[in-house]
Amino acid sequence: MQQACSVQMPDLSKQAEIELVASAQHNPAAFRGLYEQYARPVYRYLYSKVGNQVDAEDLTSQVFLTALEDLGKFRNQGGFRAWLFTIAYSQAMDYYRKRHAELPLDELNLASHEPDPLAATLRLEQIRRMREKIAALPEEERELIRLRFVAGLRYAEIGEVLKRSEGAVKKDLYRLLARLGEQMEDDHG
Amino acid sequence: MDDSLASQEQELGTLIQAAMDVPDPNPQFFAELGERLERRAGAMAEPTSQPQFPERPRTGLFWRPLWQIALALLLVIGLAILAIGPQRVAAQVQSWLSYTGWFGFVQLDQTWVLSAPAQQEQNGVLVTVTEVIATPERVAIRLTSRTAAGSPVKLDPPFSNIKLLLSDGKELQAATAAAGNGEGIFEFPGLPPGVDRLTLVIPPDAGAENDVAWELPLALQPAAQSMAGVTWPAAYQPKNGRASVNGVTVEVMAVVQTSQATALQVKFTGKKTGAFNPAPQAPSGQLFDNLGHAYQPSSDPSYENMNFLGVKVSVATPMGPHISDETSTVAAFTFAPLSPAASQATFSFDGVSVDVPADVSFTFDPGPNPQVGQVWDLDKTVAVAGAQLHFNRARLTTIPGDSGQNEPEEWYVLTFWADSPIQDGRRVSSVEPGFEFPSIPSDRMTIYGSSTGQIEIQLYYRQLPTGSIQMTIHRAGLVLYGPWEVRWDLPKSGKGFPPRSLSPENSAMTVNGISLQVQRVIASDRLTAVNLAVLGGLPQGSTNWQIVEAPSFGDVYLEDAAGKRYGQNEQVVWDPGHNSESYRDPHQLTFPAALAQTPFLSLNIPAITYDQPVQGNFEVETPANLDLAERSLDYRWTNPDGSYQTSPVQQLASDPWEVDIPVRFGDYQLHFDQARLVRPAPGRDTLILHGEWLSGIDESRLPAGFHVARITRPNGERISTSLAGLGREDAIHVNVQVYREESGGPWEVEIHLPVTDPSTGKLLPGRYRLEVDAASFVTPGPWKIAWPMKP
Repeated sequence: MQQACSVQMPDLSKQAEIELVASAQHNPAAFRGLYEQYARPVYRYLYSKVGNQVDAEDLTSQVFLTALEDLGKFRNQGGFRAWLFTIAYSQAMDYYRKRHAELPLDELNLASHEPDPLAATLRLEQIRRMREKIAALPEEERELIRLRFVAGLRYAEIGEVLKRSEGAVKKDLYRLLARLGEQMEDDHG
Repeated sequence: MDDSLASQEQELGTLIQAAMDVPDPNPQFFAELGERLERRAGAMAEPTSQPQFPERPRTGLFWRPLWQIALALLLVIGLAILAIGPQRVAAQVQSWLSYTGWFGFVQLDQTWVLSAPAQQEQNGVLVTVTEVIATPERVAIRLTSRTAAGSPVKLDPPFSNIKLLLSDGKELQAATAAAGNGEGIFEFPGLPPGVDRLTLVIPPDAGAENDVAWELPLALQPAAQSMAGVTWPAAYQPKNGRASVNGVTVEVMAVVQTSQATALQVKFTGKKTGAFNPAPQAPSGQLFDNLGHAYQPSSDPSYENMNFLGVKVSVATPMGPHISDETSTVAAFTFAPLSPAASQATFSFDGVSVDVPADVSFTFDPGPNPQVGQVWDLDKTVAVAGAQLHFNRARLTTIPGDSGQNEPEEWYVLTFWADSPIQDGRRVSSVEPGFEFPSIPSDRMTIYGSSTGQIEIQLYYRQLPTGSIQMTIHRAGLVLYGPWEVRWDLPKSGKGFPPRSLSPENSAMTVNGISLQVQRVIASDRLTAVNLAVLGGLPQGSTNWQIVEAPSFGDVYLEDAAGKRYGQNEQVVWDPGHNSESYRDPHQLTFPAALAQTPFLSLNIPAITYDQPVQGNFEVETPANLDLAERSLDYRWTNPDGSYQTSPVQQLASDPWEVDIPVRFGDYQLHFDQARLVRPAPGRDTLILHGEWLSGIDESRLPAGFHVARITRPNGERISTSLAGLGREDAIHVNVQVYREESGGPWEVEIHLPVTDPSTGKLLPGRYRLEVDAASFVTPGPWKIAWPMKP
């Protein structure tokens, strides 16, 4: 049984991130620390895009090997997390382009940890409906969902990845969540 | 809106996360990739005389489509030849190609541009579409937004609703958008043929007061007929712009030089041996000029101009029966602008990777009763496309299974190691093998390949693998070595400021007993490179001194007479020998070009670190049968000044227990008082020792760590920590962290010692002996060294 868990990327302070990146730029061995910090959110983000373990692992490997190789070029504009997820986003786009694949959102395991069986059933139904709503979203809105709720990025970082302003990201997320909330309410009503 | 958004996220976030639920990475994969990155990092840190290529996973993602691309390329060639005729192609190509920084290379005969800027004014805001570039692949629109007084107005449209209305009645949704303060660039898919009238629609922002919809009609015309609105720099083709080595031809097909960038179109042609794909595994090519500058690629090579390149291939390779033997791929490289003072440029590419079919096999027999921990010395060499691959060792180990579904309690892991020396300019860098025991299928296989020719293959079995095994290699990745160097004369592009070298006098400064001197300065219109040396003051025998920055120390910077500061920047570096010397010399600092007429420059060095040889050892006991439970522990990120940040990490860990381990090396005393066992992944048991650094340091000499050179395990094995690289599973890395809670406070020490038996993947309890051979220190500055810039 998989646990439906909350994901929030560990919030390494900006200064700590800058220092760690600087350290890795001078001494590649220090890159291990960055890897351990970000491997899980990067993997989960990529898994949410490709929908299977094999390709998620391949892409995660590519992202970190690319980041290690290119770390010397990183100049801290926008932050390391945004840079790393820009690589991940780009690798995933290449993956789709080369495979002409549809963006998946299926085969997820649903599980509830509600102790009350009735509450568990209702919860699973809510999750199922939310999945349907998300699956019906345009790809750019699903990308917002992935970057915010799977990768756990900040609004400004999402903006960096998608080449958009922080304000635009906030507005689109605000509208998107409002719409999803209304749709869930409508279903319920 | 922020509050509303936060409230919405709180309300729906958990549900969305549950709906988007995805698994965590497999711990085995996590651990293996971490080790792989460490090996790669180790290889990057150690200078080598061998050409190095980035190691990338051999996943198939890069490879499979390439022959398809090549096939498509050949089709395009044929069509182009039929349409244009071979003799006219070269001349046409030259007049068609150009480059613009915000869009990339464009083929002008297939490009449409804005015939006149389009404007709309509403509510005192003027939006102007200044540029449009439309190709069959994509449309990019650039616009500005200003008040009547000319002040920029922030554009923040809802991205997903921006669209283009086409004259044929269709709509295109924006694919990407970048909107900032007063300007924006929106990209859409390519236009259908015949469409030259469009309307850009930016819907109102429902969340903002008084926002309005923008509708800007745009008229396009062929770029080849009119240059309106767009300046097209001329592309040129270098004379003799190709180099052939090792069966591969690298050709610089076109160069565009602007004040913002130098862009190259480069074609790689090789014999078709499966997939031919030079760029993904090869290093980005470097550009040099005849003055000593080396220009680093400003982004990864782009492969977006295949159509144009298809035409060009036909110029280089006349159509004929042999064309099916060759395949090509083309990349666009972008560099910082070349120095106007340069008269010659060299594009250099060290090596390319190719994917070849192979059909070689050999037999390995572990015998009827192989033992866990058993090692077999092998001497099996197979030839793959002219390269030698030598299998030298195999080993059987176990590793605990993950707790997930279908995971056994433990895996039997059979590992093979091979190396491939460079022979005839090539070596094997990866393999796609198959292994067959008569009756035992392996469940998983991992393959590590490296451009250094080290290959490791691990087979995972649920039961003990016995009997003869047939090993087959179906495909292999080869690295073909060059270098390929294409040199050409540059068109005169204006006056420059050629490099000059200075050896300033009186350019030394002593802080905290350590004297630093600026030994040489290279100043040009592209860079200022400064070479620094230690004149004296380091403890006897000290090595590996380096410049460091930290929150309380500040940054490295250069400052001119006007007070302008320049941070380090390596887009252009000083490398007259074309041997990456600037990267190999940690004491050469590179900054952007400083003001040419500045009478002096000054350099700020915040702190330095160095290693001092010491001798010492200590022992620590690792208990058996510790209870581990899931806990949230702090992962610590330390800085050279001892400050640190933490982030929580969930992992299996024991309760801490008290220890009493005094440590002395040289004049330094430490004391460890607490220990804890953690298991970040199966087979990765680690002992964490915590203590305090007691003596031998002060504020001018801060501790930065110490180096554990050898470890003796409880079973008597003595391991050197200097071993690294593929095939050295006995290598061990001890992480040492030194930090303090506050400036002036006591220094704490934490070491992370791996305590897993590599044969079994299980905890190896007992007494470990650690031998220390060096300690690292930081001496803070700052050193502010100034020197005159007169010759």
